[in-house]
Amino acid sequence: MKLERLKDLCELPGISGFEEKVSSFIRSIVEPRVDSIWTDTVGNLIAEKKGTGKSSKKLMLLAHTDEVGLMVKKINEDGTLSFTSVGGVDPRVLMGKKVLVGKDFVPGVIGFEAIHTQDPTALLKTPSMGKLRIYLGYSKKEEAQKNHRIGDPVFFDTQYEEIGDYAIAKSFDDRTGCEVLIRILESLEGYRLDFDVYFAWVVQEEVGLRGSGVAAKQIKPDAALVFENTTAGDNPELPDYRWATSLGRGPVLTFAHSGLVLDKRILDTIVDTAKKNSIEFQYKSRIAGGTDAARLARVISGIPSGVISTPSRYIHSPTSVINVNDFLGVVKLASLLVKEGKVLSR
Amino acid sequence: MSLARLLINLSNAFGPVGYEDEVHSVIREAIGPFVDETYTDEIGNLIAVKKGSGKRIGVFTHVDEVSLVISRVDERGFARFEELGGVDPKVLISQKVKIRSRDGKERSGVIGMLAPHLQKRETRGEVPSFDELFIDASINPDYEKIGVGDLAVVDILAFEMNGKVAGKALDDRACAAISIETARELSKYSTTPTVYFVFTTREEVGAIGAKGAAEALEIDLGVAMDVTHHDKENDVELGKGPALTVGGPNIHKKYFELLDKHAKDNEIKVQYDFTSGRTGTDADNVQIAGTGVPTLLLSLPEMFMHTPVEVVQVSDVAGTARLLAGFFISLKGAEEQ
Amino acid sequence: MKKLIEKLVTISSPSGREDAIREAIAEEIKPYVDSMKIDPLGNLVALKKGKSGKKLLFDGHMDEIGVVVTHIDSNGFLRIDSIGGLSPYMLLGSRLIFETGASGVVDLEGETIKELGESIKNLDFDHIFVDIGAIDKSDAERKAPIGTFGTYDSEFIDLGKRLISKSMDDRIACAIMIQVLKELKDPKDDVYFVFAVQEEVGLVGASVAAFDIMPDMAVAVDVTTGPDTPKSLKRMGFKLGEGPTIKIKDRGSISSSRVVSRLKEIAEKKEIPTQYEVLIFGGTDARGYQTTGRGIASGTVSVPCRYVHSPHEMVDYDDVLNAVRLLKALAEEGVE
Repeated sequence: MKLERLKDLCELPGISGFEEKVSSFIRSIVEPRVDSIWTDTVGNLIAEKKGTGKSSKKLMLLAHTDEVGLMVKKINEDGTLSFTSVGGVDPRVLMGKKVLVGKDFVPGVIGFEAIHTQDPTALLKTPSMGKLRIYLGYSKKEEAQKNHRIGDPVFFDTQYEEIGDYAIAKSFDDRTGCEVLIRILESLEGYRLDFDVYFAWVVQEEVGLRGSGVAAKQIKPDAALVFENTTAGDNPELPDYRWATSLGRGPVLTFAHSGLVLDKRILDTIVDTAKKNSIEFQYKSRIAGGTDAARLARVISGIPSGVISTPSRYIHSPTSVINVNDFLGVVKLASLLVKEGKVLSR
Repeated sequence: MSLARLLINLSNAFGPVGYEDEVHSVIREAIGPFVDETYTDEIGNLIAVKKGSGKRIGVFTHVDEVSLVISRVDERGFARFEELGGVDPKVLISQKVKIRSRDGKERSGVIGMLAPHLQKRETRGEVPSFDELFIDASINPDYEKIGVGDLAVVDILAFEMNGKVAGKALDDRACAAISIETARELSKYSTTPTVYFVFTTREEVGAIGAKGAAEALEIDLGVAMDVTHHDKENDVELGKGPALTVGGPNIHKKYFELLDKHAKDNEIKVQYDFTSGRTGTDADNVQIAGTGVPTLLLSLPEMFMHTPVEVVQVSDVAGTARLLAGFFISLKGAEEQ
Repeated sequence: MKKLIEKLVTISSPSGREDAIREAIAEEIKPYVDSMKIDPLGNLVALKKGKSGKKLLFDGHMDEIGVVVTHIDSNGFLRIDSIGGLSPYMLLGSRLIFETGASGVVDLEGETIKELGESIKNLDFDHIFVDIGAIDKSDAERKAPIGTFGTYDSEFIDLGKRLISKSMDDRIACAIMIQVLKELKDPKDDVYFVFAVQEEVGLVGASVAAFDIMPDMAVAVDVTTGPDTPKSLKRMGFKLGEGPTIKIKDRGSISSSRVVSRLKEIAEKKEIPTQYEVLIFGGTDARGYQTTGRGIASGTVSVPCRYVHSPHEMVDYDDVLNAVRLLKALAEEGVE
């Protein structure tokens, strides 16, 4: 196992609004290494590593702790639970899965009607999320109500697995980003930068980029680097010009995404650094999707940022896949960028 | 071993249609102490024989599971596949699979689906069919060892849940568990009928195994057991005992009456099911084997049939075994040991 | 072996009318078998004895798809229906030969341009007719009365490595089996060669041919459609020219794992190229053997073939020769 801590991070349950377990795990690791650390009112975990003071600038590094999941919306008469999605979850990834419900992580299944009894013409139609149910073995409402209530979070149940250069887990989006921040911090051990660096593990990205702005307003950075996890469509069902990114080609650099064109100067700095250090990288070749950079651009006077992502197949599902080397490429590039501090220069 | 544990072990065993060896091992170990011999036949059924006297009864439960076989692998390690038995493509999306290759090694794969925001709006309402799905086996460093003919099952471990067990192959291994428990119950008696516990192959593709077994054995009564849909509308539910199929043409009326009476006399909870023609189980081929065999069908209520999260209730499994063992003994008029 | 193949594929013998092909095969194999019989359904069963006491069975079906005359109209045009899976689309632009010797061409109905368009989109046997050049009804009745069977009328073309003809399905298997018989000197087990009838209308012959034999292993020899033409079915992965296939499954049966591993073992030992085959439709006589009596361990060896069930099926000659080698090796090594 190459990435023990990433495994721990990915297996922790932390859907939007319920990120505590992830935040406290990260806090326990980073607290000894930073000068100050706090959790704000919405749950963002923010840590500061002060610089020498030579520069008055501040760099913000950001990743989000929340993952997509489900939430109980109704306890039905027959003891099953109806649910809605937290963040973008396609109903097609849910059928035939084991899930964990509530703070006690009670196991249940999202089953589906047997193939034998379905209308053959409807077999290939996407069921609405409202039609799906979580079954935990209760036979009536009163039994279910003893252990569950509406608003209970529901988590995917996937064991992290590494195979060769690849890894499978449920929440690479965005635990890879969280781990990148921790590794950058580790690489700064014994280092004094000229400027202050803020590490922000923010909440609620998946439900509207909600935590990042709140964190930024406390930090007031001059520039930010956002570490995300982005979709790779490199499968046989798509022609290569529609892949967006692919696994095994290194960290992904975004020049534009939904709601924002990323700061050109910062992008050039990132590209430059990658080239100078022979770090293979790729561009995200589709504009779809968004990150906290879009939020940062719209707070205070607007915070310019760069986005560096680990590509991942099948994101927002219980079984996403990354190439470990791509992730390590992000770590290497990110550490260099922070140490050199060039993203801050105007 | 607890019954729940047996159900879990049976469900977890690797046994795609036509390749049930691993399941046979689990069964042999569990049923061995209670029968006189076990053997496999030409077509791949496992038969466990409890020798006795009087009536000769065949009990048919199938142990093949719906699964996948790889039909093509591209140069990057993405595999196309075909079903073994009837599989709903909807329940395959975003599953991890275990691939067993011809070199004997097991490898992993992911049946992936594209994130919604990369998809065209028009496709969101449709589920990819077998022609659009793929197994991402490229994650294996030696993916070129994966080839056409390799078998795959969804990689999900069975677990207990409130007196139930959820798993990928409870259809029909939960009924195989009933057979094993029935054998255990019968071993408490000094004399019993002769019972052939037949663990059939290839039920999912037309009850092929049961056909051969029933032709070979000489039996006075054939009892098939399979799972049936939990369906409140039709009065068949988990937790209310086995469903006895009342009729019609595929079921022997006199034996059904005897079974029903035995249940009533012994206050064993049962439910009722019906079929107007073939039952769609091993019973189909048992009844018309040889010169005809009186046939009964008992069904175990199950939720989410043919998905990786099928659910049965443990007490239903235990209850059915008690019913069956008692019924067999009543046919004989035997004494408890 | 090409002469043998040509002889067999050019015979016109649809399901249920296999006399001509059976006679030709019987004549070919007579000098090489220990015994031969024709069973009540018309299957030709030949035996070459071995020493082990075990029994191996090879099956190839003699019948081909065809048509039957169902009606003759007042002008001498014929109506037909299919025997086996013959697609009406394949008849447009090709010729039929009837067992009476009559030749026919096919066209479709359409009283308006629009109707012609509709007919083409949903072509079925109700909307096509056959013209055998009869001048009137009684002329047609003499040349091809109701109940007359017919098949595609096309020639055998030798392109060197590739061969084209009608009914490679399944005469190529018959040719392979005959060739094995000719070359087989020392079989380990008793080897039965079943030339089966009526496979194309429901595996009829194979359902019963082995009833009195109950071999230890049955191997059906058939063709399989090679998905290696431009944009062909993307879910399947085997090719013309890469060897005979060892079938894992089709819609008719899942090959017995024992048969699959024995064939692979022998192929590897003798360095015969083979491919694994998963077919997402179709079935072979193997199903008939799996469901005979108490069940027979059965599988299929297929010759990759393009354009199956058309008048111009194409096989690779090296695949054919390798199939002969494979089956002969199995007969020599035995089922064990």
